[in-house]
Amino acid sequence: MDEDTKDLVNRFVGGDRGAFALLVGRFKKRVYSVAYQILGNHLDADEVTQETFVRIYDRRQQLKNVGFFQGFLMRVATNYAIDLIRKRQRQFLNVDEEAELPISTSMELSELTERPDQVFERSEVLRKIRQTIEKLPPRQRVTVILHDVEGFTKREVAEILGCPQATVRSNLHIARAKVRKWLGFKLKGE
Amino acid sequence: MNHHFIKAYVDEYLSGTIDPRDRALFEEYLAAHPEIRAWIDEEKKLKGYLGNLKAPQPDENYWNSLENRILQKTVENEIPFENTEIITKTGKWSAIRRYLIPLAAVFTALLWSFSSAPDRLVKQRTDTPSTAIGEYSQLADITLEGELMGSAILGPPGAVSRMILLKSLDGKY
Repeated sequence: MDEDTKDLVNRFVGGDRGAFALLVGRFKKRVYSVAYQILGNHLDADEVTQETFVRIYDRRQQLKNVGFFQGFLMRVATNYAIDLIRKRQRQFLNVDEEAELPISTSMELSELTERPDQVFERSEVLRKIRQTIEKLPPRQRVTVILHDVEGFTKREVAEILGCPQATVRSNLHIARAKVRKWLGFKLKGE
Repeated sequence: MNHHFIKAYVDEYLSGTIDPRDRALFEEYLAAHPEIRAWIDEEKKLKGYLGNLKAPQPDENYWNSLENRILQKTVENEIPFENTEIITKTGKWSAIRRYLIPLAAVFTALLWSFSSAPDRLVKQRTDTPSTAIGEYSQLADITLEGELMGSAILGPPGAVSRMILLKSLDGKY
């Protein structure tokens, strides 16, 4: 945690509402981004972002012992997001984790290109990758998003999710393997 | 070096954070296992795509509105620190009012029942002899009622508070 953030957190714990406002201003986009990646829609991301900061405000005394504020923030956000995923699944979906995507979404990664004139195709690939990520179980989904999409290190992801780094590694491999399988990628040697 | 090691440290290898000594061993292993090399190439591409999954960025109006909603919600959910003392004091007074006023009302009613019942009865007893018996039984009810209320408030017969009250009412009976 950088000194500036640490100072803001200390002031916030001491009851300084202005410091809280500055922390909201500093981290709201990051929380929204993570929430959007996990949930895939604006309304849920908005709800998670708002509720995360409200919870942080209510639990500010717990921040006295927190060394990694952003990690604590992400932990609250991801827990709430996971709760929402499960709630949505109970409400609307009956997800078969091993279900294949429709044939039309299968593709060979080696055929994908980075050429500027194929931007549309690229965005289509990203859309399909997002679809496959949304089919992952919540913990694997969150692990992939925090590590591969949002760029947190394995140590940080482990701290956010409250699990060993070995679990993070394992979840990453399982999740990526599922994504490749669902997208139709064939791994040579496996 | 084996397949499991490669899988466990593929991220460090791809991001260039792997220990240099391990990197040399890693590449040596990949050179001997082209199928693993192909897998790592695909892993690299997949990671590249995942890194490009960007969340949409709403405009500044949205961010301002979101921030305002968060701050507003935290204000609504909390009793301001500066008002806590006043609210506590108000709470004390309301608690006193809550208990004292009904107690005073009961006590007044009790005194009134002791003091006014005989006068009313004497007045009514002079009306006609036929109603006197009925009024006497009414007096008994009132006295019993007063006795019960007195027991509840002043304690059992023989209690000091009870004796003081009865003594003060003695002249009226």
